[in-house]
Amino acid sequence: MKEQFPEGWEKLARIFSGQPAPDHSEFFVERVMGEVRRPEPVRPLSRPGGWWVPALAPALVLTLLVMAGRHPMVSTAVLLETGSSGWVANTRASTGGLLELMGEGS
Amino acid sequence: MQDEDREVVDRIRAGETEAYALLVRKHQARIRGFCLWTLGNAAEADDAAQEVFIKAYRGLGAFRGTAGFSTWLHRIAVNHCRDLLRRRVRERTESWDALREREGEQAEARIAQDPPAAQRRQLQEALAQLPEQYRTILILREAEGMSYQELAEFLGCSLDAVKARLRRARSELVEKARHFFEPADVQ
Repeated sequence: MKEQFPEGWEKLARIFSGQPAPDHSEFFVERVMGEVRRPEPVRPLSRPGGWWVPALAPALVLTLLVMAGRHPMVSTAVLLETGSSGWVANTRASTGGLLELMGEGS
Repeated sequence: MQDEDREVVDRIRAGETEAYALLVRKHQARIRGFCLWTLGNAAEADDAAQEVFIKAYRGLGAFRGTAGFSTWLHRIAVNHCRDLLRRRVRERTESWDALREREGEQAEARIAQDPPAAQRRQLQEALAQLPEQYRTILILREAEGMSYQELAEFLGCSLDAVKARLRRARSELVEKARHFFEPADVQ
């Protein structure tokens, strides 16, 4: 059975077949082979010891929070706000943590 | 021909890495051609084709040989180009006007001097508007010259299903092309 083509298809088909195939390129072959010869890069997390970065991330964030509590700007603000009791609170904050400081100061 | 490819694959698996160059030489024109039709940009197509061959090399362990190496390679090419098109939707749908604006009058003059190139560009614009399954089967059949049997193997369906899908794809392309071509070009 003869295949039925939509009207106008013949001209489009000619454009398709008129596109020359890309020329053979030895440069392309060499590009591919250059990558093939190169050993695959090792993923950072698969390296021995690489696990500790994500594992210690929460501790790092907590340290940064505590350091922020010791920042002069924060300390001054707490002293002005709470007077002498604030000094105590600020001292505790240096050793006890930022959450305790916020509880005493409020 | 497929047996030759399998023999080369076996050599590579046995450790003869350099034998892969034989497969790249043999299949590069078709894969680069497929990528060019799909992506519409020669430099991008060559980069994509390179990635396809590298993916194929690294995935040779998954090549079972039930289908030909060429068919397997084309599957990788289709998937890779699909990913690129998704990531680069803006580039894919770049309008004719945007191309002129970017490349300026030089590109316009160059294309005007080469009517077949202008027509191919218009056809690529129309192809880009088609659903992926239609675009792919048209490129494989009309530009790559795949037989119905090869297409059936590639798509994993019957010959009748291939013919039906091609018929719908052609009709839809003719419809889309009306927006990109002068009426006389598609009637």
